[in-house]
Amino acid sequence: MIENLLKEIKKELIRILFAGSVLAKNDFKLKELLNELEKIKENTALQKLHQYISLLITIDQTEENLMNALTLCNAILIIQSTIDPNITNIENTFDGITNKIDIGPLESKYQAKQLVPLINSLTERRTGRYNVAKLILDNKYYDDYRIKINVVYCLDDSYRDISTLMFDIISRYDYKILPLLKDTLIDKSTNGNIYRIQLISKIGGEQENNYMENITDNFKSTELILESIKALAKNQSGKKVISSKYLNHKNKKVKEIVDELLKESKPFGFLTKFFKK
Amino acid sequence: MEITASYINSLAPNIAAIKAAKDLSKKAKFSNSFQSLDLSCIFSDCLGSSGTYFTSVDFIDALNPIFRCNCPSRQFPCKHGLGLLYLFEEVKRFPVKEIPLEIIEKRKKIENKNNKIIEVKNNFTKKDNLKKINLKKDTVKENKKIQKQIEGVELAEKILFSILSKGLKSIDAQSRRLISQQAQRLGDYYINGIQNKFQNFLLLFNINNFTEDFEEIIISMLELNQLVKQAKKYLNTKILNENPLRDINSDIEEQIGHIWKLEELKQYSLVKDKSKLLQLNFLTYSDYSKSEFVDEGIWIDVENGEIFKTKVYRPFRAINYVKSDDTVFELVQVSDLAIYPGKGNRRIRWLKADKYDPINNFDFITKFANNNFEEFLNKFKDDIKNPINENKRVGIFNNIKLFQDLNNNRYLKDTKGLILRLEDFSWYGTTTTDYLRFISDKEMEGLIVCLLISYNHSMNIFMAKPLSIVYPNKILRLQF
Repeated sequence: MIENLLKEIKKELIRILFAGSVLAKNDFKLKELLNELEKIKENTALQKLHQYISLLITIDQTEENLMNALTLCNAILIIQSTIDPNITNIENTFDGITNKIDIGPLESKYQAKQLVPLINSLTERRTGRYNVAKLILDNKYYDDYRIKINVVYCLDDSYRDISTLMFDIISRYDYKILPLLKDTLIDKSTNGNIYRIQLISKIGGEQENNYMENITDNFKSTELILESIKALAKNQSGKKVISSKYLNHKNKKVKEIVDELLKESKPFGFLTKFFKK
Repeated sequence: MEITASYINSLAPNIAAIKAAKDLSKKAKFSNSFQSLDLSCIFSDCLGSSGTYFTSVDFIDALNPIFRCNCPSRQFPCKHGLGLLYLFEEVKRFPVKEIPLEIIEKRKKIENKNNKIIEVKNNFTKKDNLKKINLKKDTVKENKKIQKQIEGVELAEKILFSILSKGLKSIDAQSRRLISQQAQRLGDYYINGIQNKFQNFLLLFNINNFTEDFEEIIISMLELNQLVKQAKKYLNTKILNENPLRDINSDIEEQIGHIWKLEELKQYSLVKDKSKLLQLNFLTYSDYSKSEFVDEGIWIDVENGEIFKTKVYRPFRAINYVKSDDTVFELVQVSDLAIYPGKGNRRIRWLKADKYDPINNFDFITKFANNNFEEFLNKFKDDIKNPINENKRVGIFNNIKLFQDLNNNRYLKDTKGLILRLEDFSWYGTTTTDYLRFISDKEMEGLIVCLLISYNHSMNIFMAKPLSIVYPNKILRLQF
């Protein structure tokens, strides 16, 4: 109850701070709050606050009183703040955290002087970043987890040369990056997401067929579906999946690409067109 | 001393210098490269843009090599000196030659200078008693300065009260310019700290302009008001003393604008002999009110577990000429550790480290870690009641559990069951809470975490940002 009253008082004092302390005299809202404070002024701090506010609404030169009251009100709120979960009403919690990703042992062995320009080149959107980002390719800073994570995020960079560079870096050092690639893949037709599917297919190979199948079944973006079908077509078991599942896909574009891929994959497939004629 | 690429990188002022230096060594710009017989010096000619330069790196003091080069670059060390080191690191050996006379002469000069310093130090330690320091001749000068400061503080109070009486809402572009001009005048009164607080307050107006959360503006106003109030009280008491001594129990002097010199800290017995320090976090951030970068390191004293911070200020204008601070992985041994007055994580500084020792065992940190949040927070609450005290404090906590609610807010729970909400403070570097997703479940049990804790005024709760996680064999840095 005291906390709510103090918050109300603080809010009103801030309003006066914005409006100007000259308007504090006879402020009716403060008078009301003062009456409530009167009932519960149980310790010296609250009594002092009562005194400051009384002065604030009665005398003319009130700048000092306004700041004294606000400072004191703030101080009482700080002291009363609690970290007890029973009081703070935090509900529906569970141990651990969601979206956990295993990208192998985390190493932080590079110094700020080396890392800061690189991370800035990956996270900022200014020009002149390409040459700095290229250092990751040259100097193998990629084994530091802070670089690794930002490289994956940077696949979405609107500067195409940089996102292509990130693609090259990840293809070169594949490590345990697959879970992060999957985690950051969303159903949106962007170059970054297309790169992600290509990388997952390249790094995971045949083992990622189920994942590709999942994209084809559940994603709405035609470009991503096409990319995942292309990824499936890279291995025999994937081709089987394509021929059994997607030959009569409802999306016209998908159907066309499936036809094309299957033709290419059949021995003497190029003759099919000729025989049809 | 072993010269490695990472060691050379640590000597470079910035990454551009590293790249330029590596290019020089790759492009074979060095000729007549030699080393002295005792390997205390390497020297070479280097082909540069305006002729051939003579560059040398002198290891007479193995921990602090001296770079010398006759190139016109104002950057120190220049790319030629660094390039020579990279070349040496690659070839491991140069032909042996006698050290040039020029270098020997310069060495002598340094030796003479060092001897003089030792002499002065010895003389000083003889009378190393604060009462015996002849402060009298400075008293008149100091009193004049305090008088001027009082005038400045009164002016600051006038500006502040005029803002308060009209209200914050009345501050438009024109009045902002006027306040800024008035605040600039405060610099003439030796109260640069108060002046900076004014600039910071106005800067917040420019950024927020009442469209966003204005809590920051209110806090800044409270801070400014309290600083002016306390400075006035402090200076008026100080001027009454015959020998006006500085307050070393709080950082009021620094807040007003005093810059502590190492000698002065020694006079006030704020220098500790022989300390061993380990860095837990490093970060560079911009302070726009002062137009400078701040390199902030968080350190633990391995003997008593006290947590300190180092700060290196680099003005934007002199960015290429001031050497930046950096991440340090080794255990640093310092013979003269200057500790600045203040509360919480006090600032430290040293001129020269004695030794950098590699370290692989971090078990000792456990004994200094707090077992719960309560005790730490009670002390912190007590300090930040006063708005001029910094609303951020670093602590190490043991046996911490991580959990989450359905709104994806993450929390830390201590052994008593008390909780702290995790938050990426945008004013303190990059995101770190997101990195917690990459830590395996095994490593999550009984975490020892180094946390930055701050009070959120609008939500009325304490929040924490994880800075690093301590394991028995390594420290995982979540920032730098």
